Amino acid sequence: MKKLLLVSLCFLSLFVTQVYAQNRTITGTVVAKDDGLPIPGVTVKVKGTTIGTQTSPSGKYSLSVPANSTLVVSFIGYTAQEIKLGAGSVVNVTLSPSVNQIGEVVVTGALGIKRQAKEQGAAATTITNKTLTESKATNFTVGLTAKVAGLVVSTLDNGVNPTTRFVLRGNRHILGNNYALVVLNGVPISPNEVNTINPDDIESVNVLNGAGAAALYGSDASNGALIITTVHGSPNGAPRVSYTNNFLLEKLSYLPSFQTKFGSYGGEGSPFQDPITGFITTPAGFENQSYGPAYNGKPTQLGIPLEDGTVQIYPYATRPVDPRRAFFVTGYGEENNLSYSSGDANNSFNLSANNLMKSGITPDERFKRNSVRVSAAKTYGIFKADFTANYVQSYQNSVGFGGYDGTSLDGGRSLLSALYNTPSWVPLDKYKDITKPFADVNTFYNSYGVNPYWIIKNDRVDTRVDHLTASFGGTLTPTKWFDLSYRLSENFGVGQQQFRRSAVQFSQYAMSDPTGGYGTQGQSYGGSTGHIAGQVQNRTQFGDGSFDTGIGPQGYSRIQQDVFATFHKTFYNDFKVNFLLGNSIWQAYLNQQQNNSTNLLVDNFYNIGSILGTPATSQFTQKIRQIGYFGDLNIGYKDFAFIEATLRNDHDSRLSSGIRSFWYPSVKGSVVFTDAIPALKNNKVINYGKIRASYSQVGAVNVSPYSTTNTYSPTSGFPYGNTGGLTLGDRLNNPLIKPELTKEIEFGTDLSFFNSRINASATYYKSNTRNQTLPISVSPTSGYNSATVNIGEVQNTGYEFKLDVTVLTKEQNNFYLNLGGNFTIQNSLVKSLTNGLPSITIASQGSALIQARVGQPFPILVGADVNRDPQGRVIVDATTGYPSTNSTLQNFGQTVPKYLLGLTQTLSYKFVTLTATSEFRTGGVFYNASLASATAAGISAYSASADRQAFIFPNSVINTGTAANPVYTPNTSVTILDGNQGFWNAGAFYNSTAAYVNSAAFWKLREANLAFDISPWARKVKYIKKASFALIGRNLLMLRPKGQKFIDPEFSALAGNGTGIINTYQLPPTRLFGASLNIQF
Amino acid sequence: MKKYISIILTVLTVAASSCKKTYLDELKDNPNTPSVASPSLLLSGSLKTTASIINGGNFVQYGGYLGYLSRSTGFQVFANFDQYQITTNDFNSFTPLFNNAANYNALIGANAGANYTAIAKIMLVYDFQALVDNYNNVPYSQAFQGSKNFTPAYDDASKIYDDLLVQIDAAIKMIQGAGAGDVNPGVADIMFGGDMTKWIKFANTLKLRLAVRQSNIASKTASLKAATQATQSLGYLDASTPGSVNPGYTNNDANGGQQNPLYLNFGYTQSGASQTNNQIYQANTYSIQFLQNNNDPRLTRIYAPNPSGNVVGSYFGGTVTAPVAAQTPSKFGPGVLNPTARGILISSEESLFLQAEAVAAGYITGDAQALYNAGITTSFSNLGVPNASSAAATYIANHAYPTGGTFAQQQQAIIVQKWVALNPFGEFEMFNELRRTGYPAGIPLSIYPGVNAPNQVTRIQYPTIEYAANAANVGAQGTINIFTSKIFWAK
Repeated sequence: MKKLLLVSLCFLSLFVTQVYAQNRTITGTVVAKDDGLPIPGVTVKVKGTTIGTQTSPSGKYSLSVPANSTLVVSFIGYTAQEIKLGAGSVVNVTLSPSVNQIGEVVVTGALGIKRQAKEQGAAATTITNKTLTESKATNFTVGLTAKVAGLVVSTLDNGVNPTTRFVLRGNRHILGNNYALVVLNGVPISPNEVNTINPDDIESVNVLNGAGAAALYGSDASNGALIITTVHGSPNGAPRVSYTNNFLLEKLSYLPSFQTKFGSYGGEGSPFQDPITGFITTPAGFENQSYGPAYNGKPTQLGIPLEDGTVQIYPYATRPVDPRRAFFVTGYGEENNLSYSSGDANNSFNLSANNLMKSGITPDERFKRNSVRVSAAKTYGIFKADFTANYVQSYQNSVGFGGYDGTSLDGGRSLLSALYNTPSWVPLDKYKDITKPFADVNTFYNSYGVNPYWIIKNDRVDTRVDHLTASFGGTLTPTKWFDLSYRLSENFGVGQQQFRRSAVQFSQYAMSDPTGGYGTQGQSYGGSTGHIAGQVQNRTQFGDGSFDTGIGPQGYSRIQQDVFATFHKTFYNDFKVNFLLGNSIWQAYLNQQQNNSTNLLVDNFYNIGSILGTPATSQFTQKIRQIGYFGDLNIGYKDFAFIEATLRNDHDSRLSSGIRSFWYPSVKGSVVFTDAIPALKNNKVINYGKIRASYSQVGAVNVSPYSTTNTYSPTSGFPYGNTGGLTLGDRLNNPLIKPELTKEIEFGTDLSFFNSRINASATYYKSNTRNQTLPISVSPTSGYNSATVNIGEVQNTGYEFKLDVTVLTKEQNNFYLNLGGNFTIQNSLVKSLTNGLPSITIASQGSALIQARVGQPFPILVGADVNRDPQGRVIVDATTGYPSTNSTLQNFGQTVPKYLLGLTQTLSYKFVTLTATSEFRTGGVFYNASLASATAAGISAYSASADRQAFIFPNSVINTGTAANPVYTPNTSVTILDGNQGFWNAGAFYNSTAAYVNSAAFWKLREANLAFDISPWARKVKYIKKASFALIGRNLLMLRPKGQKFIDPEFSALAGNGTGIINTYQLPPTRLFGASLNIQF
Repeated sequence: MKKYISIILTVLTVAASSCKKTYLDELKDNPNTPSVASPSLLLSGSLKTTASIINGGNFVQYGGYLGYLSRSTGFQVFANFDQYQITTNDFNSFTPLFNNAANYNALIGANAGANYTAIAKIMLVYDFQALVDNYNNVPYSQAFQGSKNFTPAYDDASKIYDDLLVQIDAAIKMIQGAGAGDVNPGVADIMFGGDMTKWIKFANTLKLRLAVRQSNIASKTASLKAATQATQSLGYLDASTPGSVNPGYTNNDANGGQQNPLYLNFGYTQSGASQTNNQIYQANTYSIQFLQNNNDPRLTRIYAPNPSGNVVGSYFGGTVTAPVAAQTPSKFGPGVLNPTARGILISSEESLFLQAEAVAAGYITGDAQALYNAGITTSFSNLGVPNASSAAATYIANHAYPTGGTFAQQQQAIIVQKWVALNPFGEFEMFNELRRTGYPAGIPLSIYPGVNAPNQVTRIQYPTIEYAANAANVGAQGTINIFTSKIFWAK
C-alpha cells in the first residue's frame, strides 16, 4: 500500500520529458525487491540528459538511448540505481526500498495540502491502510487504537455497532466537544460518521496531535485532527480488482465474577426469615436477589405455582453451566469487500463496494452495512477535477432498553440488569419460549424482574441509517507559481429509528397476588385491567446519521465550500515560499422529528396512526453557519529549515452579532539539523534529525445555536385541547458568550539512526484552554436554574514518545523483526472555574459524580466514602461494627488514563508475518455501577467476599476516645452485625461510592495477526496477481488488576466528556477471532 | 500575471460577498422554542404548574408524617424515608416553587393590565407562602434578579408574611379598580375562567390563611384580626367555589402526562399501569383505623379495598405484612384518584374549616358550627360517598362541633376533621396545620427498626443547590435540624 501512496506522489512531483531520439532501444521491467511485483511510474532516465520515460502499469519501459549511456532508475521510496548499459537490449531492474525516507514521506495536512514530513512543525503520525486494517475492525478508529502516541481511542461498548471515543492530548473542554476533528478528503465530518467509512477505502490517516497542525481549520481544530485520505485509484496502474473476505467470531471473554454459593432471598419476613433469630431458613423462590441461605442441593420450589397448582422444582444449587453465561451466544461477522481501480497519467478511477453482516453476543442482535464509494480524477491541461462520493446504508436490529417494569418507554433497566437479577440456581435456558408456563409474564419466577428472553423478543429497536458524503474539487494551475483550488462538499445522513415494545396481558391469577402480600409483576404493573398497551417511538433525524442533538459537531450534516489560492515561488535559490489565501463557508444542520405513544390501539401493530389518546411529538432543528478567512505562509530555507505561519478569522452564527468575529494565529518551525549541519551529513549513526516547535491559538464555540437569548417552552401537559401554556426557560442565556480559546505550545524532535533502522520521536506540549463555556447551576431564587458563563481554564500537558526499531531485516537475516512502540503521559489540571465555584458536575450515576474540580485533573470521580481515621483506616461503630457515611465528597482520582503504552511487534519469515499490537493503560479509576447493581442483587462475588458471615471490617478502627478527642484503636473483635443483606445491600458501605471504585488499568492484546502471503502459489492461477490469507484476533487477552474482575474498564456509559462510569448498559468484554482472505486480480 | 491576479481577486471577492451579514444574522431566532410568550399562555402554564407542584411527588413525604400513607412493604428501596434520613437532595420543592414564582414575577413585569397583574400577584403570594411554610426564611426582596444577583440574601420569614398580606390587599384593590381597558384573561384563567370576583374570594381566603397561620404569634394577633375583618365582606372560597384549576385534565400520557396532578402522582398511566408513587406508597394503618373506628364511609373512597375487599395498610416505617392474599395492601381509592378532576390549590373543605377556625378564634365573624358541618358535608360529596348528604349528617351527628367547648376543643375538632378531609388533597397544608396546632395528636412516628425520632418532623432541609450556589446566604441560616428547627409560626 505504501507503494500506492508513492505512486500518487510521483505523479505530483515528477515532470519528465520523453524524448524520441535515434540510437538503440532498451526495454525492461522494473520490479520491487520487497514483493517482486512490477512498479509502475518509475522514472528511467539517461544520466546527464533529459532523455527519459516512465514505466507502464505493468512496470515495463522502453527507451531509446545513445550509446555508452548510463541509466538512472529512480522511484520515490526506493534507492535509485545507476546501470551502465552493456550490450544487451533488455535491462531488468530490481529496486530496493529506500531507507532514508522519513523526512521525505509526503503527508496530507490541513485542507488536503500535501507536504513532506520534514516540513511539519508539529507532531503527526501517518497510519497507512495496512496498519489500519490489520485486525479488520469495521470502525477504522478501532484500527488506530494503541498505534498513535497521544491518541486515546476507547471503545465505549461492545454491541454489534460499537461506538468509539477518540481524543488527542486529553480532554481540554469541560463541557464542549473533545473529539478529534475528523477530516475526510479535506472536509470536516462529524465524529459520529467514522463508522460510515469503509476502512478498506482509506489510503492513510494522518493524525495531527495538536491544535497547531490543524490551526487552518479555525474553530474546529482545537482538538487536533485525523486527516483521512481515501483511495483515489492508481494514476498509473493497470486496472486492478481486489477482493477481501473477512470472517470474525465474537465470544464473551469474561463474565463478571459472580458468587455461586447463595440462593434467592431479598429480605422478606416470616416464613422466610426466623423472626426471633433473624436467620434465613427458606429461600424466597420468587425473589430477584441472591441473599438467601447457602445452596444445599435439595429440590426446592422456584417461583409461584401455576394457577392449577403445578410447581417447578429445581435443585437448590448453582446450575452446572452458569445460567447468565449460557445466555450469551457467539456473534459472527462477515465482510465482503470488492474494489476496482484504474487510471493513467491524467485520469484515475476507483470503485469499491463493501458488505458487512454481523450478529452480537446477545441473542438476535443484528447489524448490516452496505457501502459504495466512487472516486475519480481527471486532468485537462491546466485544470484538474476530482470527485468522490460514498453512500452507506446500515441497518441494526437490537434490544431496546427495558421490559415492561416501568412507566416510560425506557423501562429504565437494561437486559444485563435482568440477568444480574437472576439467582444462579434459576434454569434460565428453560425460559426461552416465553409463551410457556413459568416463562410467561404471569408465572415467571421473578416477582420483581422481567424474563430476559421477554426483553429480547418484545423490546426492540430498529435503526436504519442512510448516509452520503460527496465532494467535488477543482484545481486550476495556470502558471508554475500559482494555483487556485475550489472544493464543495456535503455530508449528510438520515437516521430512522423505531422503538417497539409489545403489549402485555396479565392473567387475573397473576394480578391476584399468588405470592401472598409480596407482590408480582402483574400486581405492580397490571393496573386495573392487567393490560399494558404496546408502545412505539419513531425518530427521524436529518443530520450525520446519528440521533445526537448536542453542541456539535455531533448530529449535524454539513455543507462546505472552500476556495483557496496558493502561490509558490523560490527566491534567491534558497527560499522556497508557499503562500495560501483562502475562504471557507460552511453550514451545519440537523432536524429531528419524533413521535411516540405508550398506548397502541392494536397489540403488536406499531404505527403512530393507530393509537389511543394523543401521540407525543417533537421537532428539533439546529443550524450553524460559519465564514472563515485564512492565510498560510510557509517558507523553506535550503530544504532544511522551515517556518509556517497561519492566521484565520472566523465569523460564527452561534455568537451574538458584533462579537462573533475571532482571530486565530499560529506559527510553527522545523530544522532538519542533519541537513543543516554539514558535519552531520552522511553520518553513519544518525541519518535524519529534526527539531520542531509550534505555537497556536484556536477557538472553539461550545454553545448550541440560539444560546444567546432566553426562550419559553410549552408547559408540561399542554396543550389541553385549545388551551396552551408556556413557561419561562430556566436557563439564563448569555448574549456576551465568547468561544473557548486554546493556546498551545509544543516542542519535539524526530530522529533516525543507522540508515533508519531506528526511528524515534519525542514531543512535549502544553495547552491552556480558557473561556470554558459552562452552564453553571445558580440559585433558583435568581429566577433561573442555570446560566451560561465564560469562565474557567483547563491546562493539559504531556509527553509523547515513539520508537520504531527494525531489529532484523529480511535482506540480511531472512527474518524481519520490527518493534514499534509509543508511550504517552497526559496530565490535566483544572486551573479555575467560575467565581468561587469549586467544582462542576458533568455526569453522575447514583452517588458517583464525574466532575471538573479546581486544582485537580479533569475529569475526576468524586463521591461518598465511609468515615476514615487520619491513616485511612475505616472507623466502625463499637457495637454494630458498621462503618458510617462521610457525606463530604471524596476525590477518587482521574477517570482518564494518565500513562498509555502501545506496542507493536512484527515478525516475518519468508511468506509468514506475525503482527501483534498490545496496549497498557493506567493512572485512572472508574465507578463500577454494574458491580453496584450486581451487588444489590447479591450475585456479585464481592457481595459474598465475607461468605455472608458476620465479619470484622478489614483494617478497621474503633474510636475509643471521645468525639472531640478521638483515639483510634484497631478493631480486632467487633464484627459486622449482619454480614448478609444488612451490610451488602444497605448501610453506609453499600451506599458509598468508594465501595465500587475500581482501577481502570489494563493490558490488552489488542490485535494479533498471522498473515500468509500466498501470492507465489496463487499466481499460478491466471489473472491473480496477489493473494494473502490471515488469521486475526482482537482483544484476545486482557489483564486487569486484582479486584477488578468485572468489566472492561475501557467502556463508558456516556459518549461525552463524563467518562468514568460503567453501568449495566455495557455488556461484558468479548474476544474476536477469525480469518481474512485477500485476492488481487 | 495581471490576468491571474484579477481572477484571484474576483474569486475571493465573490466568496466574501456571498457572506453578507444577514447570512449569519438570520440564524438568530430559535426555531425550537418561542422567544416571546403572551400573558394568557404564561398564565395558563403557570397556574397548571402550581397545581402540579402542590399535588406532586415532592409533598409525598408529608403524607407519611401525617399518617396518610406508608412506604410499600416488599420494596427494599428508599428506606431513608422511613428512617427520616431525608437529605438535601430529596423532595426538593424549593426549586419548582421558585421557578413557578419566577413565571408570576415575569407576568407582573409584562404589564398586561390590572386583572393579569393582580392574578400574578396573588399567585406569587401563594407560592411564597408555600416557600416560607416549607423552608422558613427564604430570599424574597432580592429574588428574581437574574445575572444582577445570583446569590440573593435571605429575608426573615415573618417579615415576608407581613409583606405578603400587603401584596394581597394591593391585588384585591387592583381588581376592584380594573377598568374596561384591563383585559380579562377569560379562558386563559384555568382557575376561574376570568371571574374576577372569584379571584377576590381566592385572595381573601389566602389572606385569611396567612393570618390564621400566625395564630401562635400573640404580638401580631390584634392587627391580623383587624386586617381580616376589614375584608371579610368580600367572601371566601366555599363548597361551590373551590380554588382549583382545570386546563382540561384528561387520562392521557401525552406531553408529560395530562392527568389530574394527584392522579398523575399516585394513580395510573393511560393504559392502567401503576405510576411510580403508586408502587412505592400504600395506605397507612393509622388513617385506616381512625376511619374504621369512626365508622367513616369515606374509608373505601380514600383507600381502595384490596381484591379480598379489605382496606389494608401498614404503619409508617413498617416493613412486613403477613403473607396472605387477604392482606394485600391498599392504594389510594376512587374518591381520590380521578384523572379528570380539577387540580386543587385551596380546596372547598380547607376554606370551610379555615373559616370555622377563624370564626372560633375571632378573626372573622360567622357561624363556626355551620362552617364545620359544611366542611364535612363537602368532603363526603367530593369523595363521592353514596348518599353523601345523609351519610354526612349521620357522621356529623356522631362527631358534632363542640359549640359550647373551649377554643382548644373547638380548634382540635376542626383540625382533626380537616385532617380527614384533606387526605390526601392537602398533604402540605395539613402538615402545616399539624405543626401549627399539634392536631391530630398521636400520629405514630416511624416504626422502622432502630429509628428513634423524638417527635414529628418540624422542618425540612434547604436543597443542595442552595448550599452549592448560594452557600454564604443559606449558611447564615445555621444548621437545620429536622426535629427541632421550626417555621416561625410553628407551635
